Amino acid sequence: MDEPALIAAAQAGDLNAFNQLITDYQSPVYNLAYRIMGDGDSASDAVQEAFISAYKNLQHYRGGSFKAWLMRIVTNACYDELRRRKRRPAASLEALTVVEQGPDAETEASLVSHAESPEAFTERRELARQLQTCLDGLPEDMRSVVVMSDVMGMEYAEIAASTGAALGTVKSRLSRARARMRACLRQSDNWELLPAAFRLEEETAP
Amino acid sequence: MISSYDFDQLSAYLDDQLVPAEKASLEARLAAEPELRATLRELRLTVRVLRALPPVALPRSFVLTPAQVAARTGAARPGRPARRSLAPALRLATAFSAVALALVIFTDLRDGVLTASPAAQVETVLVTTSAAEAPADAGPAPSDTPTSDEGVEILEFAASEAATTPPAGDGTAGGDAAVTDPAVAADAQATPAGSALLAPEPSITATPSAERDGATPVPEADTGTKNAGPTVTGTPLTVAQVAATPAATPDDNDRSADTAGGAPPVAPTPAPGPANLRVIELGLALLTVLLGLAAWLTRR
Repeated sequence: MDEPALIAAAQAGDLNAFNQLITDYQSPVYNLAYRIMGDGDSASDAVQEAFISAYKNLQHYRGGSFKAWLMRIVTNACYDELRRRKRRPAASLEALTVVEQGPDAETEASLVSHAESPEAFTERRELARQLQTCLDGLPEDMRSVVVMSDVMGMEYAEIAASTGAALGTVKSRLSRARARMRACLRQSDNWELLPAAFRLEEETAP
Repeated sequence: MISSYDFDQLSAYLDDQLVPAEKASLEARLAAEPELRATLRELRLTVRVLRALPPVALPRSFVLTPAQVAARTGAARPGRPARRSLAPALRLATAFSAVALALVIFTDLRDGVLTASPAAQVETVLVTTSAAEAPADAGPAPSDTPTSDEGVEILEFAASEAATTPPAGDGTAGGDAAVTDPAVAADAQATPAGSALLAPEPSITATPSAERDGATPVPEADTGTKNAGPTVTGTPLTVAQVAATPAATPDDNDRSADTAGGAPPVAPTPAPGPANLRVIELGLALLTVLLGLAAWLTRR
């Protein structure tokens, strides 16, 4: 069954069809939530909430990119959770502690490469932690845009559809987010320690 | 110095989003401006590092179960979603309650009741119960109790003057009672014991006490002097005006005044409004606080 047929079936109440859509999109949806929230537990909560909300509101889906529609729902779920954290500083501190302790287990697992030396693995893990710290320091709207664009490789138009913002706004937010990320990375000790591969590629780039 | 416009241009250039004219212009500047070139290099490095972030493995499957869907779409699901849906209604109810309270207070102020004696209005509610419960033979009150607020005294004097005007003043105990008793009574009202004003002037204050307790006022009127009757009954009127509930006590006072030898026609009739407004205000204030507390607790 193709995607439009699955969507139509799900709109008619077929939970199995909707679960097939979830299977197709849960990885990018979870990755987006993880990068916005900064920790796995909060991301899982937001994704679960988003999928339930999406199923409940399927009748409001009016066509277009289903992925972008899902991304928008999970982005809003993340924003809701982040606002709740602001109102409850204790929960926010708890989440920060988790981040400070290092990447989650699943992140570490995803970073493990059998061809990688222990030093290179440590370096990459430290870089991932630093990047997430810099992402966490961005305003919500910039964070979601830069994650969609530079971490997940989504196109501008798809980002615009996923965030509900105009194309020009997406470009502007992305530009400011990149500038902030650059400044954040420059302030860190890792700027000089960025993997040599990045620098070599950079020097030879046109 | 790199401007935000330059960052926009560099960012779009990295994504190949510039139109040919913009691209050519920017490349010319890049060739001439080392700082702009360095910034582009760092921005490109930043984007590369971000794109090199590996995807995060799923911790579990997020496939929905029928129970999850039923629980969410069901109306009677307890817990966070239900509480969240309740929160806006509670906030709205709190706002309405607060507005209603403000309106009642405004009405109250407009009628000039609060401005005349704000504390007396509050005491009205308190005294209503204490006066009704206090026995006639309550122990003597300390005569040095602090004087009550001026508002009470003003009301008392106004009422007592009206009550004592029609009968011919005899200049004896009756006249004294008419002037001094209201203040004494007001003092006593301010004390917790309520009706403990008997000590200073027992011969006069016995009458109002008996009347307030529902005792038949006729014997008092019979045993009292003709002149003292109106003045004595004028005094309990003023006490009752503050202390009594509007429904029952005014009739008692009128009856006692009639039986005590002709009530003055201009005797003040207690207005039922203020006491009712006090109750409404207190109730609304309590309701507003409770609703606000509930809204705060369910704000998640």
